[in-house]
Amino acid sequence: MIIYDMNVLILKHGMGSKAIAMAKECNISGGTVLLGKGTIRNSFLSFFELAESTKEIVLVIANRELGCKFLERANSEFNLINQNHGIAFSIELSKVMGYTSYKKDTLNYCQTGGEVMFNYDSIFVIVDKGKGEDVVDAASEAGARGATIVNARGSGIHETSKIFAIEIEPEKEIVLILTKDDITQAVCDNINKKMRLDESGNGILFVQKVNKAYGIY
Amino acid sequence: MNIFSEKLKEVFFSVLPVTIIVILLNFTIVPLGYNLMFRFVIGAIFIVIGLTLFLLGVDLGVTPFGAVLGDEITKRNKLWIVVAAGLVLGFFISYAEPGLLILANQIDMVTLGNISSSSILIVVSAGIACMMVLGFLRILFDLPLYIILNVSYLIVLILGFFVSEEFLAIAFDASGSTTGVLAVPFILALSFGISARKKNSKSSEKDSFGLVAIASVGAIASVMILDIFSKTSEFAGALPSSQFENLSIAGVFMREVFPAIHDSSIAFLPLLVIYIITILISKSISKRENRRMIFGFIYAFLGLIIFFIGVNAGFMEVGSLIGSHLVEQEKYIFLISIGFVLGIVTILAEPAVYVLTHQIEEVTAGYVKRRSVLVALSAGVGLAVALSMLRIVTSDIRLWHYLLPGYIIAVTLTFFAPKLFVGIAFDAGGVATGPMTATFILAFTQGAANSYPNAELLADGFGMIAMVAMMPIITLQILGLVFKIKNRKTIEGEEKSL
Repeated sequence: MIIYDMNVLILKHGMGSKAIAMAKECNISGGTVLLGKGTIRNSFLSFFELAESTKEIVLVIANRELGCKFLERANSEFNLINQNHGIAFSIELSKVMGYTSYKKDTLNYCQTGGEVMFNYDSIFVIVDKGKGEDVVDAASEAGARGATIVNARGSGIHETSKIFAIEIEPEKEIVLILTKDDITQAVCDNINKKMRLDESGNGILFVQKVNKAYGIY
Repeated sequence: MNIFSEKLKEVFFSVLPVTIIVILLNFTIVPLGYNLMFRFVIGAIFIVIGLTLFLLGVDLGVTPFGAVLGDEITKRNKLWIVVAAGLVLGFFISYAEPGLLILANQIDMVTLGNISSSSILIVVSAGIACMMVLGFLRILFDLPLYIILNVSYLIVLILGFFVSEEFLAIAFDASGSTTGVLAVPFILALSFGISARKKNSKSSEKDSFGLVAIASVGAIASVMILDIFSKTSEFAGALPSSQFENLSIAGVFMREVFPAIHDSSIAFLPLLVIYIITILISKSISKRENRRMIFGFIYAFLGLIIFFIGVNAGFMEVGSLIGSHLVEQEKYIFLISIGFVLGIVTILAEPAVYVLTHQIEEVTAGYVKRRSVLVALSAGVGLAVALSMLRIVTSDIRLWHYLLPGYIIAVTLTFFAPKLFVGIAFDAGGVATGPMTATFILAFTQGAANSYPNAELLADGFGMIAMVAMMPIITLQILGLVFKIKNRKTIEGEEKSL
């Protein structure tokens, strides 16, 4: 049985294409780049509303063997060991379609490098545009270290509407937070409480296990 | 790296080329003298700081505000709100544009008071207001941009036959002047706000651009109509050139402080009023967004002041000196080639260009890279300046010899280029003519025209901005064609390999 992972890299703006090129050199068939913004923890900067930076998020799906090679390589080339150079992690996928190039897979798990496996969780929160920062605040209150916000749009069953001749979809923000698994529950609870996700239409949250992570402090 | 240092780095590298070129010129062909050189370098530092603050402020304040406003206008789903908002916004934004004010005063002087500056301000602003409404409706009712542009330029062409040659230059210059440093980011954000939520993301992408272009046509047409109705036939022979007094370096910068504050305040005033009204009406803006926008406005305001001081005190005189020196030495080949190089490097430091290229990158999620847009834009502006220089030193070429074929090419390309690039290209035309071009390159052009014995200052001195507004439309659409061909190739290539 071949195990596939989604490898996620969060890098400085402009590095995305380099990461994709790197993935191709590792025999991975391709990747997807999103633009996002990252938070910076600094109270002086945040007073002046400057505590953020532009990021690129790279999604690369690969089987575990290639994914491991890719992450190792990204780790060394982007210097993720240094603080603020970006982070990388991988999430195990239960099903992949449209990935054909490389069928053989000899590894079931990665032994080398990175933080110890099964120690981190990734939390995804999808909320209305403008509320992403509130999610980040709620997460930091509960001990999370940082977050990345991606602009998106989408709608629930009760939201699509028509204005003049065009159909519209509300704008959303996706917040991505990595936490150690011992505080995941607390972070989720706090976000849930602050954003009132229990009521319909306020957004959704889901958590996925991370099996390998680099560059987190 | 936070957003401030990111911006500072980017701005530094975009102002650096023009600084290096001028310093090189100083040591080779055009000795500027110690005093002027020193002022130029200080001016460049001012520009870097001012531009960084301004762009930061645009990112934090102006752009989000424009997007929120666009959203607020459309989500009520009432036609009269859209029409009223378009009229009010279009009118006041252009009325307050410092570039338009300068242009209106120049026309007033040139026509010996026949067309007063206040009538120009009102007519042009009204023209832009009407086109703004059209631009809004286009997005909401899914009318293709290229059809609107083709029809509008056809009207401009017809009007062009009735307009005197001097006014042809002035009218096309007006389109560049009105879409200035603050209006462009705001208009771009507005159309982004209206179109961002479209369900069909391809058309949402396309519709994010084109509003600046539509507004520009409004300016051209309204100045032309003004000329036809006022039937001006007498023109002043020359523009009164500004007096360069002998002041100390600090004195020059001090002198520019007050006008800079004045211009920036006027430019910001309507935005501030609209902002306060929006806050009062809208309930969906959170405290946090509010705080951020206010900081953004403060940054943008301070940045604009510093930027204006730097450009006016440090760059203007240098530009005019380079132009006149090259003509006096009769180094015409140098004049044209230096014009080309200056065009290329100056456009990099233009604030609105920055905003546009970033927005392109954001809207297309990085598919259209900033760099490739900048290359096309620079090439276009470089060519435009070089052609304008050629026109000054060879008196046979008239402005319409450039504009007519140029716009025919531009309009023809709209049928072939990808529609996203049509919007981007026509927007870029308005964007390229910001404060850097309108001061530094304009001073360079007028310096050259003043010194050349046979040049008519009026017809030659104006018209450069019109060229700078036109050439990027062509080059960017060509870029679009290149993208299209490249894309087709990769798809075909993949099909073959399968």
